[in-house]
Amino acid sequence: MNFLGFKAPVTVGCELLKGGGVKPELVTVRSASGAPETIPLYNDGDTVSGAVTVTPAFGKKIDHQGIKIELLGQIETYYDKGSFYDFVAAVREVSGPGEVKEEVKYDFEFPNVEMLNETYNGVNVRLRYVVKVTIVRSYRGSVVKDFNFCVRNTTVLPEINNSIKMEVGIEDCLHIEFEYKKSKYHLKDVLVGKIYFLLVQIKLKHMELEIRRRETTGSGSNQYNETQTMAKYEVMDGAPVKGECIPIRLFLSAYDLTPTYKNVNNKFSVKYFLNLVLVDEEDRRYFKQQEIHLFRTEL
Amino acid sequence: MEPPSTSPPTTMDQILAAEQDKWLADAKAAVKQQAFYMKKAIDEDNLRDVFKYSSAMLGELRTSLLSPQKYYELYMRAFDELRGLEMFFEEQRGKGHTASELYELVQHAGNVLPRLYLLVTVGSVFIRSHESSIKSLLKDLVEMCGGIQHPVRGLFLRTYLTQTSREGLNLIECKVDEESSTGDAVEFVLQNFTEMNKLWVRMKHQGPVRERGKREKERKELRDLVGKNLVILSSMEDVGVEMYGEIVLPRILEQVVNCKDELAQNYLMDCIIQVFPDEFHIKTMETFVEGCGNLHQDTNVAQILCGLIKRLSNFMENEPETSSGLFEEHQTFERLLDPATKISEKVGSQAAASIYAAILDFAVKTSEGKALGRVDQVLSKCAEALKTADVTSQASRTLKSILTTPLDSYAITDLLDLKSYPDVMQLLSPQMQNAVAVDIIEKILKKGTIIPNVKKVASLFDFISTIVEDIKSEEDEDDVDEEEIEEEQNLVARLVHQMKSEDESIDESFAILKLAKERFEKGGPLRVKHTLPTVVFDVLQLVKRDDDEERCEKMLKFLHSVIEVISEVPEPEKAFKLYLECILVADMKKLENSAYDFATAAFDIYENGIPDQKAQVEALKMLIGCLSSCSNFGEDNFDALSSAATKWSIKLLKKSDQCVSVFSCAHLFNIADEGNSEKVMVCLKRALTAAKQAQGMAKSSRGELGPVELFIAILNKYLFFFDKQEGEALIKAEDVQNLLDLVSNETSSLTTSGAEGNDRALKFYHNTLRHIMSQKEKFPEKYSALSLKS
Repeated sequence: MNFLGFKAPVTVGCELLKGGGVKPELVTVRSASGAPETIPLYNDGDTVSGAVTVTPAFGKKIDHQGIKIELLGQIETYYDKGSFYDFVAAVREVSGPGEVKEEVKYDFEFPNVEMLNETYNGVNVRLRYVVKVTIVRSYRGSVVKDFNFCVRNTTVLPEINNSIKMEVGIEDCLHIEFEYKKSKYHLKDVLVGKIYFLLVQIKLKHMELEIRRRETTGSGSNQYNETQTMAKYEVMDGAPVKGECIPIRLFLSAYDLTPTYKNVNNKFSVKYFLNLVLVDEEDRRYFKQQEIHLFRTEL
Repeated sequence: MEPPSTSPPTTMDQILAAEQDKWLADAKAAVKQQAFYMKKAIDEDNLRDVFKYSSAMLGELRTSLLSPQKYYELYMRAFDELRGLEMFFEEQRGKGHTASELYELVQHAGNVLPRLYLLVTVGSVFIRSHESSIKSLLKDLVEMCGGIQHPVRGLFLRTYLTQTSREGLNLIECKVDEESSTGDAVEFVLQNFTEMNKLWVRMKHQGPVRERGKREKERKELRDLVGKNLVILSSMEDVGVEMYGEIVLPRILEQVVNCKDELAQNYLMDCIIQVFPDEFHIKTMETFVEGCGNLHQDTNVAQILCGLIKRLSNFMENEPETSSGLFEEHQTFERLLDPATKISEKVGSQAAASIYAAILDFAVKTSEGKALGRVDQVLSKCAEALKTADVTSQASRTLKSILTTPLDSYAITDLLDLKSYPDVMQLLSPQMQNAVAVDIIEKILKKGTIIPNVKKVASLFDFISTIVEDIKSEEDEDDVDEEEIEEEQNLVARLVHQMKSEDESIDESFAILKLAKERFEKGGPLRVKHTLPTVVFDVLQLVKRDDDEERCEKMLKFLHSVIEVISEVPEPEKAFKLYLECILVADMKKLENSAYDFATAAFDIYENGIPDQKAQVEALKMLIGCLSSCSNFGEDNFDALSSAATKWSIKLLKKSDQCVSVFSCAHLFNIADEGNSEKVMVCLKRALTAAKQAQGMAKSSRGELGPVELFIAILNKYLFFFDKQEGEALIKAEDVQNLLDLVSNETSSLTTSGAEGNDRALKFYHNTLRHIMSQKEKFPEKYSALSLKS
């Protein structure tokens, strides 16, 4: 923390490791600010360990009331600025009050931390994991340093994975039947499907498939829905006639998607939809949206 | 105010053309630019940028502004660039990327058209890589291309697929890939063909109706893109006739029939005919022809069918040995005829006629020995099919060619066995029928073909009944063109000479002529007068040759009935002359009764049937000539005849005619006979009297010299008999001398005038004198009594 232009004469570093001193894998994610950052990756139940180094500026010393290392899992909602909800919180006091004159290294370990939720950066909400180092000082403010890490969890393949098949249309105008092979997809999956045109009385120009993400935060009257189009994929060019069948093959890996999150700690949900959009010559859009369930099978 | 513009007005089309050029130039420039970046990225080995710029370049093909023609230019431009891209992908494969990775990566492109061009491009690299089965890759490509439903863009994308997949197909053919068979390659091409055709047909319905014509023209320009697939199928060596018949053809036909578009159907059916081998067509005839039956009503089925038949006919011509075996083995003719019959019932008369014309041509060219039966079959079906149809003039012309084609290929006598030939003729207008009949007759006459028996003759008459028989209804009576009839009937008459037994059988020939008479009689008066006389002459020829007296009489009796018909036309003079002919022949054959019968008939006509006096003179002259040539009459009969002739001579109106006729009669009497010599003298004297009377009348009424020639002629007669007689039994030299003096008097007055008649008379006179002088030299004794004055 840097108040009033007085920079604390100390550098805090942290090396994050897994249990047994194993170095975690690094992943690049988009941070809250939108810039990519490369951070270590953990899974649920992993031991989060490591070493924090506190290095005073050359020739300086700092007094403190104690040093603590916290492991936090936080949900931050933007509409309600500054509202943090810690769903995971653990703390290690690594030093009582004292004085640091030279670099000190504090090992720490949080064994088998339950981290059921995945790191998520949304529009109105963010879920993050952090190792927070606090050098408590009674005056000039405490020195606080966050070290983000990422959590991703894999799930097993769902046993039931029905296809999505439906006939939709506007009477005497447009009738289509679409079929997506599955309703549940893992993030590197390929979405395969077919669109059958049963009746076409309007002059279509093209057809595209969108993947839309709906993020729901809050509840009741404070519920916020935010929808983003994650993918826009043209699947047909020109006007089909009755009887035509348009193939669909969409590689999900090309897009920045997350698994579907359901009601994470009663704070938010993230759902994905496939939106089939038909555009006619007058740029009118006809669409049909279907929820798909996304899950992660590999990290 | 501005002065009015003097530049020529720009038409809408010109504006449109200029716009097209501009749009094309813009699009080409954009392609060029993106291609430049793409190539730069290729040089830098930057895969991501290559995707980016190649997608952008291919994005130019998404335009809807260009006409198909211009779009083609743009496509070709992009196509050139894609070659380089393919090579790049090939190299990437060597640099650690697998083909399947690349195949996935290009599918991340958001726009479907560039994505599919890239997919097809990588696809060909993938196929070469052997990483996956060719069959599944081809299947995937052809299915994914379904994303382009825009007709022109889809057609060109699939054309690109056609072009780039050739290598894959070749690999399958070389059996490089164990998992992929020829069937898979065929399936791929068929599927691409089907989709392309659907797109092509769909073009018709895009845009405003008023531009339909323009669009159809544009569509026509793109047809080879679709047809190319059929060419590829035909070039696959492993596609044998079995696969063709079971898979390829049925599938093609299914699409062609289902598209219900006449432009596509006309083109593709012809395409099938042209690109696949003859043998395939022969062996799968039924399938193809059945397909023809299911085409759209506006499609020119007849032309398609004719195209097929012509192709087969050509095959026959080019490879007669291979083909004829195949044709027989597969009953090509039968298989063509039956379905063609069905089709012909559904189409117009012209189309139906052209189908039959083609089949007929095929039958004639291919089936040698069996041909005639087949020709008859075709004709019979043709007649059947068009019996109730409204035969247009164009159809008539085709029908006429159906009837005349066999004339060149077969002997007429063989053709006469074609039972249905007249039925087909019935379909034509009377004029056309006549023309065909004339053709037939002229052919016979030109070749000198002999029609050798009653059966053939009867059938020939059936063929040409239209000009032999009087079939015109009453209303047309006024239109009768006698000159035309005469011309035709003269031909028919000449034809009679060709109808005779080849082995000189008189019975057969007579039967033929009897039949001819029977048929000619149906022709009515206008025709029989031209035709029957020939029958008479030909029968007379038979009589002359025949030694069987009884048969001769029978024939002569028949002639009686024939001439009777002619006299009733009425054509008395003709009948009269024919009777005279008959008299001569009968006399020659020593059939006196018959000759006498003819003579009485002739006399009867003379008395009752020849009113005109000039004709009478002529007739009498002929009669006398005829009688004088006869030598076998009995005395009594001849007496009766000659007396009658003399009597009539005296009764002639003009004295000069009397004179000539009477002195001619003198020849009828045999001077060797006592009683007859007297008659000769009576005749000569009578002639002299008549001549004098004639002269007297001429002088008194008109002041003319009168017929000196008559006197000279009589003098000649005198000289004739004087010469013939024994001694001076009949004519005394004195009588001759008197006449000679008379003539010399008369002629002396002639010399002054220079009229033509006089010249002739003088010449006649001098010739006579010269004759006398020569006789005097030869027979001085007999002629000594005669003296010539000067």
